[in-house]
Amino acid sequence: MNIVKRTIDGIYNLLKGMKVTIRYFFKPAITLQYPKERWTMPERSRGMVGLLSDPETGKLNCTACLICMRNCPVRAIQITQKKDEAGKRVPDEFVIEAGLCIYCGICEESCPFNAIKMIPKYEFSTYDKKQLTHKKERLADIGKGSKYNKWS
Amino acid sequence: MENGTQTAVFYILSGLIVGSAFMVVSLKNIFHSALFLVLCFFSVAGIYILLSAEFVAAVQVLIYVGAITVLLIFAIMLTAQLYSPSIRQSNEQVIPGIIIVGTLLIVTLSVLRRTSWRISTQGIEGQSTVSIGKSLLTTYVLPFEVVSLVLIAALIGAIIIARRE
Amino acid sequence: MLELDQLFKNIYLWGENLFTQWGIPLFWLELLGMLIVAVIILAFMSLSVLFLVWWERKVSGHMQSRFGPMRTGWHGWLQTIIDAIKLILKEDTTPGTADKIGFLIAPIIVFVSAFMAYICIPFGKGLIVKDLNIGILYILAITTFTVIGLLTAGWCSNNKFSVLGGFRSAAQIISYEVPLTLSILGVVILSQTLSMQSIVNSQKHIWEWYIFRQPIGFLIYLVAAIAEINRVPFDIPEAEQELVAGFNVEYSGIKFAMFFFAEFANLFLVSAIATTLFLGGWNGPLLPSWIWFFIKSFFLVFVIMWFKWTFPRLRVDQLMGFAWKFLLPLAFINLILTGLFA
Repeated sequence: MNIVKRTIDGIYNLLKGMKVTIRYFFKPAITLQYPKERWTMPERSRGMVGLLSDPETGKLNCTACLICMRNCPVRAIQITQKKDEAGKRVPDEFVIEAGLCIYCGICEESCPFNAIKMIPKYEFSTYDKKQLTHKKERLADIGKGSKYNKWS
Repeated sequence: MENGTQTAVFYILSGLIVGSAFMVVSLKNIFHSALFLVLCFFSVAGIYILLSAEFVAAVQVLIYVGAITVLLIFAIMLTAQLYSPSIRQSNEQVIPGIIIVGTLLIVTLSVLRRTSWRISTQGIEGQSTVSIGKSLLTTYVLPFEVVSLVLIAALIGAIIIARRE
Repeated sequence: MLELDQLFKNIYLWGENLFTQWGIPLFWLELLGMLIVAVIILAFMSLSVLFLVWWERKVSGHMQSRFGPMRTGWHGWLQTIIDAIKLILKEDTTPGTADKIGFLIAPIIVFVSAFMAYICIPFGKGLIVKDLNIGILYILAITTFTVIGLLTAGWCSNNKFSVLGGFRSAAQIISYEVPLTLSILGVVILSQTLSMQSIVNSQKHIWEWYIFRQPIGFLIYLVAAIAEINRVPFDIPEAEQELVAGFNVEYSGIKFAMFFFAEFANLFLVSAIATTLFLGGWNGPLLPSWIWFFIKSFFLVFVIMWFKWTFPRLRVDQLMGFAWKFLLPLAFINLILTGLFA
């Protein structure tokens, strides 16, 4: 009677599998309808690189110390220095090649003035490679509204 | 159905049968021959339907098209070097062939002419399926059983040949 | 009530009146009627295939926690229509080394055999094109042409994957046809007829449905039928992972569409036959008969899709062994028991 037992066992196991699939059939789908719905990224996720500025004066926190530039492993950051009216050192040009960036976050960790940060923003693909060269204004724009988080 | 239509359908089907049968033996491509054989069998089934023997027609299609031709095609596919020149379509022994076929033709024709064919004008009463089933299990029960015995013997024989160890 | 058979009858009577008024022989009316019925069946098949393809994608999607097509129309209901248009407009290619004639007629054979079987399906009370007295036998006979078509497609593509797929499908269909026929024989013994309408008429009440008197027969039929239409878990003829796509590797455009069409038409056909034989056909309370028929058939279609997205594919030797060593003896036992107790 081995064959009878095996048959019944087999049918039971098949039904068990069918139970699983029918349960998932009635569960809501987990797919996100991407352009219509978007996922809110976690606060500490590494997205685009942006420059933070003082919320009161609107000036960049950056002092053009070049530490991030030296620490960048792929040399995606290019900075030139200048002095402003008060004699303070500020970046004249601050360029990040977003196409080169590997999202390691070393620039953010090494910055002593909380000026540079990985912002949880994404979607910056372009039709033109030149637009991946983010200049100072663009970087300040990206960083607008983001606050420095001690643990990130 | 009208009589004229029936005759027309009969001639169309006969033409199909003869034509496709001729193609079966004359075509170079053996796979095409098999396909024409299917057409031939199907037209024969049409003739059966014309004679209001639907059951026989269905069985004809089921067995000849569904099983035998598929078996033939299997054999064709498994034949190695099908298109090589070593397989010849024509026969070298033309004269003995003509003699044998001619004798066969004469014999068949004379038998056909001498037999007095009984032509039934009325159709089969009721369903042909029922009458076939009844006569198979009453009048012709012995041939029926013998046929099944022969088939089982063939089956066992095939298994024994295939399982040579 | 919303019975459709009266409608068709009235249309026919109206046509008869018109033809006798104009003095045209009724033979032409019959011919015209046949043509119209063929067009109606083709239209019905197309609609149901379009629906089934969409439904299949939705079912598979939701069983895998996805949505399936969503973008074209409400929940993607336009998707299959667009796909069909794309397939029809696509360039129709034939491989250079293929057997041109065979390559052309293979999809036609498969398509026509699926189409012809629809003649004997009782869609509702009086809604059958021709109630042949060998009904179910006719369907079994005409669907065997599918094998010829698949073998031709496999062989004439001149591609090793195609030939393997054709081989496998032929072996599989021939093997599973035996238990399929035997499981149907149980119903035929009980109902004492081969005609589809008579089989439906013999199961008026729910306790007369043959699924309760032939439960093993129903299971054998379902398994063998799924194998007949080459669906998962018996889809080795077109196993994507090993044979690319089996017999239809080389096909594209409208020829591929015909294969695809026939596959889904056969899916509905198999469910419709199971409904007729085991689930009481169009019998049911309250609703019109044809609605009952479609409810039952589409439920069975859903069950077959459910199988597809649950079970893994069988190996070739497992498949053949299952047919010959398990299903066939079981079908014989079922037949003998039916014969003894009927």
